[in-house]
Amino acid sequence: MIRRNGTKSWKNIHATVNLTLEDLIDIDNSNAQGFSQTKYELLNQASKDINDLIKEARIKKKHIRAIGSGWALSHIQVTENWLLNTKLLNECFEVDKEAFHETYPEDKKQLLVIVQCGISIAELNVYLELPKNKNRIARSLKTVGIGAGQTIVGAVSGNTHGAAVNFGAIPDFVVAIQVCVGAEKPIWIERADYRVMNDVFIEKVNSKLLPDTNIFNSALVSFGAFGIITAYAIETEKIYHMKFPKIQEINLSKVTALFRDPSYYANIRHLEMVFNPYEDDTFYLVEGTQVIYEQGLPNPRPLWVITDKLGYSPGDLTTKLLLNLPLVSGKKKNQILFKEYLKNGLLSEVRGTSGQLFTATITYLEGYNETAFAVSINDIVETINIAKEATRELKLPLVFQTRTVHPGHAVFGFTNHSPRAIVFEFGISNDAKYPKFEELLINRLKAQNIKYTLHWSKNSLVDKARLMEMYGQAKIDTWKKSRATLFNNEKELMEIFNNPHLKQAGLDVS
Amino acid sequence: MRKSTIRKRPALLIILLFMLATINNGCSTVHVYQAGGPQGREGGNQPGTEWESKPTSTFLWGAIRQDVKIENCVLGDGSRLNIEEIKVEKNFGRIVATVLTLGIWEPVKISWRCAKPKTTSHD
Repeated sequence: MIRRNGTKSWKNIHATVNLTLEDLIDIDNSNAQGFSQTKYELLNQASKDINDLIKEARIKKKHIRAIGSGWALSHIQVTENWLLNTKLLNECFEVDKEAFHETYPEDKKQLLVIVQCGISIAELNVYLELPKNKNRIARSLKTVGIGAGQTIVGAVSGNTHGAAVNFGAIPDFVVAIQVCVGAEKPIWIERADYRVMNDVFIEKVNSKLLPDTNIFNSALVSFGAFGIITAYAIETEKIYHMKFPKIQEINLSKVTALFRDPSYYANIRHLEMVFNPYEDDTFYLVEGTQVIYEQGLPNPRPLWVITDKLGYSPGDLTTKLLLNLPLVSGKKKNQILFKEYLKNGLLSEVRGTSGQLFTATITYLEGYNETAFAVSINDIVETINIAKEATRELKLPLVFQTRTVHPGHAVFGFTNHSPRAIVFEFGISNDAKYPKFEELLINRLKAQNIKYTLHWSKNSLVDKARLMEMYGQAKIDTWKKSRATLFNNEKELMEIFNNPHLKQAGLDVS
Repeated sequence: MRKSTIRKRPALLIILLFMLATINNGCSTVHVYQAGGPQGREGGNQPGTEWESKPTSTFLWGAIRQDVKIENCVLGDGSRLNIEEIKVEKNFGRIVATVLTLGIWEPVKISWRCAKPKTTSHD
């Protein structure tokens, strides 16, 4: 059902975006009659409610966007008109055997799940890893990010990357998309060459089939521009454990030798590295290998919990205050920051499922922002040097983290560098230095002809020129053409989902 | 050691206090939230709604209170949701009002987000 809250002031979870909304709209799975509903009734009610809201927005000339968990640090996902809270649409559905397409592999059927748009990564992990039905096997997501608070659609659409060296990023486990565009029926998109559900199922979810690989790959990372996504079909794996040995301290020569050796990745599932840009030749390697799942092992200590046993933690804005302290050098502040990061932010000598290991959600650290960008693993040494030099030049206190990701299929996947992408991430005080530092990094990367891509949800600016640098005309054309086709070239409908971020990047027009 | 450093450098103390008041907006916030999860795993913060807030006050050192009635933690059919988290905020103005009135008027801002409905299995 739909519940309208009217005008509200709103900010995202990291408090980097503040808006006054015309209407904040909650949407949930309840119904006026109070009846229990079948899975098809639930899916159809949600898609109908959302489609009706889009139609109303079109008539009233309002922009409409689904917000998910509000996890993005940039303005990418918001509008000041109608913001739709989808977090209450958090159900999961198993698929009847007779609902699969005839070409869908038999061994993958029990691993496929239909998820509603608002389920969070943490909720999904619990659903998959701790099955309530004895006939259902325990499963795991193929990759996750460090955080577990994002909704599944938010994580996919904003290209949350994780650190799966042999798989890809979060969008890469999606195999079907149900999206509402204000047409007569929701659209069910699949790749033309990888069909998942059959016509009977698509009829039951009252959708119109669109088997088109380009549109599917464009819609994966589309940050709300392709309509409101109501459900995905996702592929999972049989449950597994990841084992992290003690963090290794290595030097740059070892980093180069390991990361550029293709055989290094054979036995690794998850790969992170952190470094303090003020330290000359020390890097900390976090390697997760896949091992057999064993029941009954204790839960690892959750990371990123900033509250101690008595409940004490830094105030909401204390981090910003400390990072901006005068008379204390960036290098000194970084020593403290880095020590805390090594202690509280990294997996060392632990074993668990991805749902047990990656649990970060509580982020009451206002005034903090982040940028992440990806380059090819071939450019790792040059990029490390650029990161160090730029940090020292601006005397900033920040920690660099890298995550290694296999390239995937999304047209605007920012992790699609070959042979693997290495994502550089850093947290920084949310002030004028944030865009200045990002700009400095990008200019240095460009000066050395290093191809880069910015994280869609963590950056200070993607404009037309930058979009072209990152993806090139062919990919931009594919994405725009896919969007126009999905909306049947109806500009009025596409405009409903435009926002300033999209306009700035030149993606609002076909 | 720290005390003597601050005594010797009053400018530093003033800068620190000024920054606390400005960067922190003179705002003190306490968060109340759920923790834990199935089989002991940490579920973290899982709100189902966005922040809603109301200003409230107590008078005469608690002799009169103004309660906050939460009405938005419901689904469309009226069934109730739990509360996932609460925030109690005092900004600079509220703190000054409490001090100047010697606690006769103690204004605060209460914010909350509702919990999500439980994910169920649809086999």
